Amino acid sequence: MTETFKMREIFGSFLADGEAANAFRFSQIESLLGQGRVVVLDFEGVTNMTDSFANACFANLALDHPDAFDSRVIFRNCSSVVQAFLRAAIAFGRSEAKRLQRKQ
Amino acid sequence: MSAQPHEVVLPAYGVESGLTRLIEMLSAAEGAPEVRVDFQRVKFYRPSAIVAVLARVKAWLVRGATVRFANHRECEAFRYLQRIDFFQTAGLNLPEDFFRRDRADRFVPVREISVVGSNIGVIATEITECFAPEGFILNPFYPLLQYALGEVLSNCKQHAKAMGFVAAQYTPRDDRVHFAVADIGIGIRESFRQSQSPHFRESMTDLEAVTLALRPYVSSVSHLPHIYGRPSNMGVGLSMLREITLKLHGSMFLASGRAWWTYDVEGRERQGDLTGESRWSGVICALSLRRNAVEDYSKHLAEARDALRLTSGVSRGTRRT
Repeated sequence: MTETFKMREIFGSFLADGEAANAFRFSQIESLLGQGRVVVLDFEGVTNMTDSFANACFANLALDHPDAFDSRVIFRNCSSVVQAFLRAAIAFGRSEAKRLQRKQ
Repeated sequence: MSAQPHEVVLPAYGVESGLTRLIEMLSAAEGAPEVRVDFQRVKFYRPSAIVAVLARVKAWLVRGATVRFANHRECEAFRYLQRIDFFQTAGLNLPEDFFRRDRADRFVPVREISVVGSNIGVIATEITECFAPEGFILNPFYPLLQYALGEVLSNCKQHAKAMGFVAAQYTPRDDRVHFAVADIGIGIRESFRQSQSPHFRESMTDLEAVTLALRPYVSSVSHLPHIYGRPSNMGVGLSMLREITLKLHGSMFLASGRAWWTYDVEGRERQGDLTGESRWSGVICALSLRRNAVEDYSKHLAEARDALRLTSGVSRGTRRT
């Protein structure tokens, strides 16, 4: 089962608010991943983002759910600007995961 | 006989170079049961000075003080202050004898930021659109302005735990957009203290707290257990803005508690403490960015991330686009 979220319809064309991103990750995306479902994040119409939003949503996902993130989170219709934010956030999440593993 | 009100005679010019003096002046009225704000000299105020005065007026009203404005109708900046809704936001509704345009490309009305309910993405976008009559796509400056506004507003909403104000202005003479956010919240050091941040120690000064907040991946709340499992703030926003303004010959000003810190357009970094007993209860963050300085938005962000040694770019990050 696949669930698609149209990011523009939820947040508007500019994804800015870290608190809102965190709530969305927790209550929507992680809830579906926990049920074994596939999550599609559609960025059509999204033109810009903040690092606060990207980190709160995508870095935390990559950090806490690396396997599900790799296999069951799909990004669609990303502009080059959106891609750059996603790359940076995902890289941060993964590096944090490694750092925490080393700590343990 | 009732006590005389504390009088604040606002200076003629409210610009970044005189902001610490203005803060000290406003700070001197803390605790006064009645404050009289005299606008007689007021000629030209940047957004930083506008939101500083507004935030203080609101803070005085919130604690139950009586606030009176004097000579505001006679000051040179009266029409401008009226057009940006300064008086209305402060709670003073005055009759208007001018035509309001829906959009103005040189300034935007002051907006109030509340902890609950404010959609900061929409606010940042609306402010940016006012300065971009030709549209967002044609100039990479606008996405950068939108990003900077989003980060500052996000920071204000997450940390202040109280209301704030945002104002913005374009000045053709130096081709800069100036914007500022001021809140009446707990301030940076107190945010570190209340959240029991591992960075906090009792001997920490406001200046140490302010400079710490500018470091990447330092946030007063990043260590906290969160209802959503992970923190909303990783402490990237302010450090990115600092790096971007430096690279693009912008300016940045930050004040909280007794401390202030600034980067001017010449790239000079200065910091210090307010004089005497002065302190700013909350945070003021002001930036200016030159409209024609931005060549490639994504490139500038990537360079800032690299300069800060933030992890940037992985081979599989956007593999499924």
